[in-house]
Amino acid sequence: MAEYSYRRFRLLVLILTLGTLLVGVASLVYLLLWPG
Amino acid sequence: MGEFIEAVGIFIAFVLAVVFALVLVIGLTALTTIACVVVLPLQYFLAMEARIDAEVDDISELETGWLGGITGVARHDDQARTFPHYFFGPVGTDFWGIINDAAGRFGRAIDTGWSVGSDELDDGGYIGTTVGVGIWIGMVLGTAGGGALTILIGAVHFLVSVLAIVIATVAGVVLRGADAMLRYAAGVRMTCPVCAQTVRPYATYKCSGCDERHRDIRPGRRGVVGRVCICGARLPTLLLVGASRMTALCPKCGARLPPRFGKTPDIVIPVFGSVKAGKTQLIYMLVLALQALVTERGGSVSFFGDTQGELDRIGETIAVTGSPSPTVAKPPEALVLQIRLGSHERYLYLFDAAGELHYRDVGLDELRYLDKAGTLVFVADPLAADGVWARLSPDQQGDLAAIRSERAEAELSYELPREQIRRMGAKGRAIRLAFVVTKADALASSGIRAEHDTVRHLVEDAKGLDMGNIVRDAVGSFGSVEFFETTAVADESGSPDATIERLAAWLMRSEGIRFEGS
Repeated sequence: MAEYSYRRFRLLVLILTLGTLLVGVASLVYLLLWPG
Repeated sequence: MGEFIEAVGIFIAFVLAVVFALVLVIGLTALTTIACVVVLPLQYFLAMEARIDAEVDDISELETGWLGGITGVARHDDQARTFPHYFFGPVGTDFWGIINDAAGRFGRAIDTGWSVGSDELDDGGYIGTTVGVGIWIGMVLGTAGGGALTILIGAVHFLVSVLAIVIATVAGVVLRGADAMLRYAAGVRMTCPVCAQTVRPYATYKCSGCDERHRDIRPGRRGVVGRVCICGARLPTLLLVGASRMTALCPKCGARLPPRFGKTPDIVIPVFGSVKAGKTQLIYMLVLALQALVTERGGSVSFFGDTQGELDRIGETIAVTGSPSPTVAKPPEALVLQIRLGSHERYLYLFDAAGELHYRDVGLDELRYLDKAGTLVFVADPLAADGVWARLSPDQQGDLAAIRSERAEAELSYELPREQIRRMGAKGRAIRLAFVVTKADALASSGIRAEHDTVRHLVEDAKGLDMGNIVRDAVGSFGSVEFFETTAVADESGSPDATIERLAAWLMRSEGIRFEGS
């Protein structure tokens, strides 16, 4: 069996998780600072 | 007075000490809280990062995890020869692995914070106690805040993973559908030229790295756009995304399939008729005619497998004896021609079975290509008709007796295959039939041909081939029936007779390739 890691997929999940959190936090800050 | 001043001084010092202690505690609490809120969630990302390059030690561990059990990633034809797709098993194993790792890191970070606070308290004294209390309060608040944030990150990680599983599943279904639709639109039937069975669901592909045979490369639990062979080589999962560049094998008989199999539309043309009807010679001349028609128009014809060798053998036998050797009574392999003309590219499979197989039930069962064809070629031997034979001179009869078919066999060789096509469920009305009368040169020299306006008339007439009943059945059974007479001999320059070129052009036209001027 060859040496293999799911590097690309794991990086993708890490980036998506981080990105989702950043977008969520940014949205929250935006809503708090400029409500309505 | 002095005592009063001293008491005031002590009070002020006490107040200042209390204020300083409060400021110190609040400051350290704030700093520790902030540190915890930053450092503790960071542990989750560090756990994710640490796992990125972790190599697969045991595939079964990935397949039998909680997610692998749900998706059934191990239940696959290629389980032993591919890594499972990340989103159908490993992502679940990774999720719990990261949770455990992050929890360990989280615990160690808290222990470090608490121990720093405890050390300060153990030092005792004003400063140590103040610093220790500040750190402890900060640790309590920070652990609560950092813990909540870490749980939030874990929840986002879980949702991202679930979303990815859903997207991968949908993408697999969409890609499979698109691939099937494009193949249908292009007229790709995926027929094996050796065993004549439909290659279903997909061809077996050889890994470019280790020659391992992958039986079902389609998008799914072992790969959506690509898959990884156990040897580490990356393979495409679809003809759409490059599978046609790999070596394809028939999953039923194991034969090697032509290059770009599944991408290039295939035309299946069975040629059937009785023993000695002239099928093999007709096919040989048909190939020459197709070559001439295509190359004259700037296209090219190439051969796959043993086709060139088989054609050479037929050509040599014809050159020596005047007719090819009798075809061996076994399920035939197709002669495979790759035709490129302008924007058209087609594989043409010409199936030439021994005449006996067309009127034996066992033989017919082996002719699996009959229901794969859009166009059929029925070869009728005019010499089999008693009326025609009687009109030949004794010298002609002597010359032609060796290549004369039996009358009864000639009729059976049409009726039984037609019945077999019905039994196989093919829709006759969607099939075109070329009714070919061979040995037209003998008919012309006997004067029989001149007595009939059309080939159809010649076939139906009692003084001709006397096959009116077969013509009526063919016209009622097939979508269209076209009549041809052919002289399957080449002229001095080696070019096939014009009658063969007409048949070749009609066959190609009926399969969507038009030759201008033909």
